[in-house]
Amino acid sequence: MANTHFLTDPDGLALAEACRTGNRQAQRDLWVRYKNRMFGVCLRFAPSRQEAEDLLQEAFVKVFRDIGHYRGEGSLEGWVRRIVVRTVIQHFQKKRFDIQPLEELDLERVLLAAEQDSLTDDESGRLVTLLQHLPPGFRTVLNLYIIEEYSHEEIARELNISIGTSKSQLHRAKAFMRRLLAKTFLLL
Amino acid sequence: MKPIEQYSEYNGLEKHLHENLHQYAPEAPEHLWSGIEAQLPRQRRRPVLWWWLSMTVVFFTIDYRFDPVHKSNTLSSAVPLVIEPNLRKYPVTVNLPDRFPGKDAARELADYQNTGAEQTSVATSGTVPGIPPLTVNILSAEQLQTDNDPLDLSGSPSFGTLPVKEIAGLHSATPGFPLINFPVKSARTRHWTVEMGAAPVWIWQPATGAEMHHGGQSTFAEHQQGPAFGWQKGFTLGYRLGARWQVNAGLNRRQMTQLSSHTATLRLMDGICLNAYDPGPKEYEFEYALQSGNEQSNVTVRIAQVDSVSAMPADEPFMLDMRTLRRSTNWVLPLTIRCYFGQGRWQGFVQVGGQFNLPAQTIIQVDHFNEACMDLCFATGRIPRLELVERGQTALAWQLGAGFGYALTPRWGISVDPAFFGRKGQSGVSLNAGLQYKF
Repeated sequence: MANTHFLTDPDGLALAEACRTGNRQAQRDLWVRYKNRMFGVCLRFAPSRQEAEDLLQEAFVKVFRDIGHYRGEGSLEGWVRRIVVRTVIQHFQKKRFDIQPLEELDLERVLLAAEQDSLTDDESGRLVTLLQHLPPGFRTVLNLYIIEEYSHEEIARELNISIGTSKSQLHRAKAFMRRLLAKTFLLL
Repeated sequence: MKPIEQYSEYNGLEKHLHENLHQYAPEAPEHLWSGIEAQLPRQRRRPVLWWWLSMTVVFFTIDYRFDPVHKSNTLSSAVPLVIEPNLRKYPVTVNLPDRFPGKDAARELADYQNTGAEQTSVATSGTVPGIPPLTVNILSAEQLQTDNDPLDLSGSPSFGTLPVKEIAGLHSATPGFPLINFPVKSARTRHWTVEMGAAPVWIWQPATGAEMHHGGQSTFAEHQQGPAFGWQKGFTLGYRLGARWQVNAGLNRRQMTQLSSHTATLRLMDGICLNAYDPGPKEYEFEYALQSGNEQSNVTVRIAQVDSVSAMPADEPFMLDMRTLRRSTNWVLPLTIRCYFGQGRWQGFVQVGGQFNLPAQTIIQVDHFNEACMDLCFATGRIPRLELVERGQTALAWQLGAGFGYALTPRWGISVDPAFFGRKGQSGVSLNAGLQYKF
């Protein structure tokens, strides 16, 4: 979450204040402003587009419910992003993470499924599709550590797992991802 | 949290993923907004309660400013001449309607304080045949009390040190003014009032906590709850104790709907396996209690496994999200005492008392959302909606309120009386409006 370290966001604060009073137009403005980037976050964490849409809805309802807690410290986008990531984590905390041995994962099957479900033809879209077909544990730890820049301590705390589990999941996930990318020539 | 540059194991893969995915922003479907909007609370409205209170204050003020004697006594009906009472140090003024011929001259009245006269002559400038100069007697307080006044002014509010002044000439000295006494029966002489009314009702209660295992049974408290909303309708019977006081007792049927959420954390070992020896998918039965406010509902739910191969450890907790819809029907018996203010058509009141709640029945619908178990062993949609019928507990609540009534006719009137009520862990408001009949 590198983009959360702004000092203040007066524009965001004004928008948040308007949303807090229940101003529907302001709420819609906030939705329009951040929906795409937050949808990208949800797509990276969710196994399917449908689930990502559900998560985005759930997350924005929480954003509008808790908007009064935003004090203008840091950017509004960073604050919204934290809510979205936390919503996603809470959603998947209810599920048991698959701790699968690496050798049991069928690389070809994942590639085939990813090819069929490809979101877009651009590289980001293909990468997200590959991520979506990773086992949930791999996908979550990979997202949190590499893209959201959580530390292993934070991942362990958020997912209620040990730091060792977080590290081993990341290691396996990276190894699996590297093999996937090598197969698809996405990583040169 | 750490900057990306500080990754000790930062490598090409991580950089590649971070650069391509951190700002990844595909187009989000626009139709999602309607789903979000539907779950957002409505835009804040003007507080209805403050509106009611303001209106009550306004009505009190209006009622006080308009002399109630004008509206209820026989003098105003008989002779269109009214003296507005004033404090002793101010000149007494006479307000005469336009059709009264001596209006202009009559406005010039002597200062009661300065002259000290008991009698003041008011000369009418116009010459009106048959009408002698108007004589106004300012009566002392003792005289006012001892005079045989045809008006019953005992309940009238006084204005400063001088109450309403009588015009002696109207009684005897002025033959040109006939005094006609219309028989006006005050509404206060009718002791009984029956009122049919209806009201929207809101009830709030905070989400409650509960022990996970209470009395050997798993108990799950609500974690989210909206206000209960509903309607009540019924009748109230009132008895006038005196000029100001009235006792009311009533019977209302109150129907409320409340939505709350629970989250149950269960383990397979908490349930009973109904087909333990069946090689196919297992079915479990769980019994637990849902706690909402002061109410507790015992729920039995059956959950079937879909995939017998996917065996979940018996001690591994899993979560069930539940949405609980309670539709309750209560009989409410209010008993209050009212204090009335004002006279005439508009009357305000405050009331205090209690309510006795007799619950008829509560229908509880529990919807389970088991997507949390999808990758465990249960399928979505396999848990049916549960419906329970319970009978709640009787309860006693306090009630406070203020409102106003408007007399349409001597017998019929309308009444608006918002009321607060509550008991331990619960409070509510009802906006009653009704039609009154006095007898």
